Amino acid sequence: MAVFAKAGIVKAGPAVCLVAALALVSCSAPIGKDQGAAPKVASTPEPANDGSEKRLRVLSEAQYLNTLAHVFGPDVKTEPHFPPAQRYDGLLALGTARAGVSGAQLELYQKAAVTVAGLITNRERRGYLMTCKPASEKAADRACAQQFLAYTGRLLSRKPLPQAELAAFVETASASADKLQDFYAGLAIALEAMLVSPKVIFVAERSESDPQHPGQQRLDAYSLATRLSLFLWNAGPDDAVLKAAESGEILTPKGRARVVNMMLASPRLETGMRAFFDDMFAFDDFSTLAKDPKIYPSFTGVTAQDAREETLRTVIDHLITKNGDYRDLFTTRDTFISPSLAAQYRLPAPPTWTPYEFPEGAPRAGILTQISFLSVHSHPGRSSPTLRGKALREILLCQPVPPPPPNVDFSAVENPNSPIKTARERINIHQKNPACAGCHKIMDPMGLALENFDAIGRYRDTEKGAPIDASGSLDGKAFKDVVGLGQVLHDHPALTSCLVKRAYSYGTGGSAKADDKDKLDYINARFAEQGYKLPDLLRTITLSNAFSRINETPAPAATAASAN
Amino acid sequence: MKHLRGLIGLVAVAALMGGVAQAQRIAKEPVEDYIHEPMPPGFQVIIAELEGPVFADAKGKTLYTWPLNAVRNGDLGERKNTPTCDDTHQRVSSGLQSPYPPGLELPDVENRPSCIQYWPPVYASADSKAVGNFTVVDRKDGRKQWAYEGYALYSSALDELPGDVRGGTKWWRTGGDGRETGVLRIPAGPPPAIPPQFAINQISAGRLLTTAANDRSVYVFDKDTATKSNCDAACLREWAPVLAPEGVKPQGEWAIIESSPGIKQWTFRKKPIYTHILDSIPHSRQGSDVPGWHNVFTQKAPPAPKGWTVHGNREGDVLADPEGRTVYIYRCNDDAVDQLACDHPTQPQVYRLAVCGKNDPALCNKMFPYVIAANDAKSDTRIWSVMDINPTTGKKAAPNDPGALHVWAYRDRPVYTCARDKKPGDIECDSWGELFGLRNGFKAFWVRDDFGGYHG
Amino acid sequence: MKHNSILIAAAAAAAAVLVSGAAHADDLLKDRTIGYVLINKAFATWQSADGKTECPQGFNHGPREQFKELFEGVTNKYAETQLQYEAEIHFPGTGPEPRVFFREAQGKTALGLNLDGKVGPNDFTGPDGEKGIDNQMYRVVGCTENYRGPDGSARHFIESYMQKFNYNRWLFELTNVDSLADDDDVTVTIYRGLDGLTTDAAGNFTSGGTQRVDLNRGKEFIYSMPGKIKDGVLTTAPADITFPESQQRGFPYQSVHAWQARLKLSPEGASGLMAGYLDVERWYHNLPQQWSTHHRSYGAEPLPSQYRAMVRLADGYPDASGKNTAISTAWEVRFAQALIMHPDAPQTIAGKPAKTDIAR
Repeated sequence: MAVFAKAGIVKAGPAVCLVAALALVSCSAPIGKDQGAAPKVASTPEPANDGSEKRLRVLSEAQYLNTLAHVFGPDVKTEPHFPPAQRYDGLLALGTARAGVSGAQLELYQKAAVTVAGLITNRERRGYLMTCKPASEKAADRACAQQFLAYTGRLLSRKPLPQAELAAFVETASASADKLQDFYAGLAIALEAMLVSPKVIFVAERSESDPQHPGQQRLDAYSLATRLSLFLWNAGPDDAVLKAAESGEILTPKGRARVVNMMLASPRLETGMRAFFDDMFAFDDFSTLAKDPKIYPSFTGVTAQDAREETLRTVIDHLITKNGDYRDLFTTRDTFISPSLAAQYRLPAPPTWTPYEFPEGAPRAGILTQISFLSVHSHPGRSSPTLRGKALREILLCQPVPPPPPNVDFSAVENPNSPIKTARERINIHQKNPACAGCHKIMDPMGLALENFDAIGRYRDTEKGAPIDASGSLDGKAFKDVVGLGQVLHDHPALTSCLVKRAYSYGTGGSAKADDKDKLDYINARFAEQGYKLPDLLRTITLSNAFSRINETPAPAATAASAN
Repeated sequence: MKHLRGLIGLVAVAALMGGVAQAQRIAKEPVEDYIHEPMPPGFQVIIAELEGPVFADAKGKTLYTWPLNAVRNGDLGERKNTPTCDDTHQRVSSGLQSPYPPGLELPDVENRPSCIQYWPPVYASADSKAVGNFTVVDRKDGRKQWAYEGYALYSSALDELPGDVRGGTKWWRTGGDGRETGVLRIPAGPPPAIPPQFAINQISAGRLLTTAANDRSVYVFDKDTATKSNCDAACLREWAPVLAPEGVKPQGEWAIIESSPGIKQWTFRKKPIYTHILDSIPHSRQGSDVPGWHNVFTQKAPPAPKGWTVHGNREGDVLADPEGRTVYIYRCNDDAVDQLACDHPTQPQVYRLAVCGKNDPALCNKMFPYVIAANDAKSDTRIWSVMDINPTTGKKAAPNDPGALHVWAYRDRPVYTCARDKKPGDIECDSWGELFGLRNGFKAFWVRDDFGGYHG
Repeated sequence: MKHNSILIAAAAAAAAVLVSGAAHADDLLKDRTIGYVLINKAFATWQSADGKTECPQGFNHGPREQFKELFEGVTNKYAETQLQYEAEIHFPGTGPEPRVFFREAQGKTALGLNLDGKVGPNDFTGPDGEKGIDNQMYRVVGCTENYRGPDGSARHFIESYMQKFNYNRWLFELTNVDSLADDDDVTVTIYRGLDGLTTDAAGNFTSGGTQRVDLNRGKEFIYSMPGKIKDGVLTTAPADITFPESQQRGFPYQSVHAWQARLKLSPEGASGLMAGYLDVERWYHNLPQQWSTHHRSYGAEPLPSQYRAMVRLADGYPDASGKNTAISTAWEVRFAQALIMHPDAPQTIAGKPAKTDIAR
């Protein structure tokens, strides 16, 4: 997909659309025709299913750090700079099941572990973090070491440490303490080992026989607790959730509902959902976003950071704080602005995040018209309807666009002295070429609707003096401007089904497959019935059998991770 | 002999108890809790009125260190394990405080004390053994001296009663560094009993609690209780709970509550604590302007004398006498390598006279008048006091001196007002003197600064 | 929902601009109002390429040099040297200084404005030929390296603290403006702001940022006067003002009689000169309070000599004895356009939504 964005590989010559037959079919078939309408039933029951697959994945950097912060305090910090995961099927989270941990990466974990272990056991912290004191600071104290290592081991590895493993850590701590004549130094060494142990770094789900459904498997209590926590809080389960696992309560319908409702009511849900939407909206692109400072001097690193934050805040405020309809995110005039964004919107704003409502009649409505999407899906020096259209298809509607053919001629588009003034006119060249039209037809209309916003999201009426025409149609529905596009998107069935698919995949740790269709239909139906509210969607997913039952189809070959 | 020693001990203890009891009696507010560390025999911790817990010797004399610091052209003070304060009578300036050259004959040189006369070392005996963070270091004169965290310990000739901290202060460390103030002695004390997420900022109003990571003030809310945070959604837009680790062990004045599901928040003295998102400067007081919200102090400073006032100006708030005249503190640290103070009424006045009135005491008294105290004026604290001063010499007046003025003093040094101030809040003489009044000059008594200037 | 969002009036104005389509996206003059924030300021010191025209005897000696000249071979006593010099700094006389020599800027060329409307014998001529320029302060500081461009130390620090220390934030707002090209009746209001300056991707201070006015501690810095715009240049009617100028060490304002400005205006910024009669005592005593003798020695600035020069050259506002108390001064200034916010109430009431802002 990245190939498409870069003009560097272009060869001059006629464009040939070498697209796979399958893609051609998907290019030419109208989108959305086969999507079922949401059934208007009061409460659709979950269809019988055998659940999802057991996953083995690597804890993401954010999950690792969130867990550390909550267990040891927000001041126990490290900046490990773990390498980012690969995006797979629209989500970085799915890439973690495909990642291994190389030797070099393990070094990063180890460096982080040394820092963290040192901080935890230092003089200022140990009194608050440890409930016991050694008999002598200059020697081992097995009982105190065991107490603390059991406590940390449980929270870090997301279940109580088996006795043999705990004993091994205690042995490490004690032998080191005696050798160094320093109890706390010995303890730090054991903690360091714990922090790089596979049990902490990898999330390995386990299943067990489901007593309610003989012959079938379900996630065991700790795996369920972890799957819930990573999904809803983007961190390991805390003490309360682990207790619900230890007692088995989490495996009962009522118990699981109680835990889920508690997690949905917690401010930690915001952290979890920020991570989810940041992933779904591909906002990691912000870390490499750069604009040409000669063309856009006002767009700084702070602007980019704040643009990302603006959209995430809007999403969280709308979906969680106000419990709003997901579709309204694409028509809402509510947002938040910071001083650096205010300069782009040409508004005043005090030095904090301030809620703001664009006036009626303004061309800004919906998160598509916020600076985030507009700037991150543009070139450094100009806007790109195709980049924007493609991103929106793939990110918001879950409709992958085939890559361009290898020898596309960009010269007409790139010519700065072209008599053609607007992007619309430039891109119409695609429409004239049947090899290109198929795919561009599904991208460009959305992107062209956003042409009233330049590459850094500022509003404009004209391009090189020519008025901008933002009209178009999306899958048969016409709109005359970007506000109209928002409304059409709002009503598009793929908008909500895409969120459902992403949330389900993210929560269960793996791509939704063809045979997940019934599950997704169910979740979509419930989502519609409940007014497209995110907390309800999360509840539906996390309380479903699809979430907690494990089917025993053999895992795909490439998921086993190794440290080499 | 044994009896006599016992008697002396009793007297010392009685004096000590008197001093400590007075400090505690004065402080109706809570005092700072500290980490109880093992100490050498006879050493103790005394709660000073402004500085909180400080170490003291068996007689109750506050202990100080003199850590190495930079002045403009070099370093002065002591490195760890290397006491240099000795019985040398320095005769010339060091030239390390730019731009003046070294080798200038110091004022009143024949009477200039040696370093150890101002700063008696806390000697250890030949068989003293290290205890906790206290070690024994060797002096060049062959004797041994106690040190804390490696820095040699001294007491101050200016301190009289237990709880006096006149030789140095934790306050002025916050504003300016050695390059401006000269290298100062600092009272030594045990670490505060606060979690590592927090820090203490010594300001004139007391010991302010902040976050350690970025020096943000923390606050408490009238509507909260020991177990419940009543900061609702709108409130949480402006106030962020200070998060605590999962399994933290409550101790002393610190505890945690679950203020929302899954969220652990620190409480201090039974109140949940927050930072104020809208604070624009470090260790801010701005949050206290919001009704119902208050900065947190581990220990508040004693109040100023009765009737004294506080006035606002373009930058912050300053302390003033009952008539609204801004009060100034005079500070002086000389330029010799032993960095002796020159701001006490028993010390040479020539430094002050140069900057307050061009060597003319009459002009000085006109430019920077003393703050006259009523004949029967009394202070309830040690840090504020009244004293008799000879206005011509600037020194403490002799008992029957007819020209003596009865004046207010802070830390046993007279305070002043300034003739150039015309209305309450004026600070025309702030930073008047050498090195913006930090090394030989006058600083307004700042109570609050909203812009982050160098006001301690 | 509406009660939670602020900036309603600004939004309405923005909507008017955006929906009408008629206004260019760059039109920063809204509701006949536009705001500017100070981003550069320094004494207007005309300098020849090598300095020899205005400083034929070279540049001034500072504290280190004067110390040698005054005391070397005379006395080695601290009280008679260092303390003596410091005493003279704080209580400068106006008598002769036999052992030191102060260099005033020479010549007849200077930058500045004609403050008294006359062309007098002591007046300068501007580099573009304008006569009657009143800038005696140029003679005082023009040959002192601390104040000469591009990188005189005091010149640099005064400007740097102006930019970074929010206490110094200085704004003016033009209201009743029909056109930034010509309008013979506009209102100029000066404020102290509360916010930092906005920078662009290259780190340059730039337009488009927000500045909240300080109605709390900055009340005493608010002044209003009429102005005229002709051919894109704003001139303001003279007024007595004070403005913040602190390097974080107290004594933080200057006092200028008959302050006026002449600024070329654009929607993105304003630049030109401001001038007036600077109060001698206030400006002088600010010097040791803001910076120590050590700092004055960076740029060889001899305070006692400088005081004498100021008193000698002061040309306005005589006191009862007839002695002038103020000296004509000019600064080169540059402003960036800013959106000025006027909070009508504190914005930090817990539990209540932020008040609507009356952005103009």
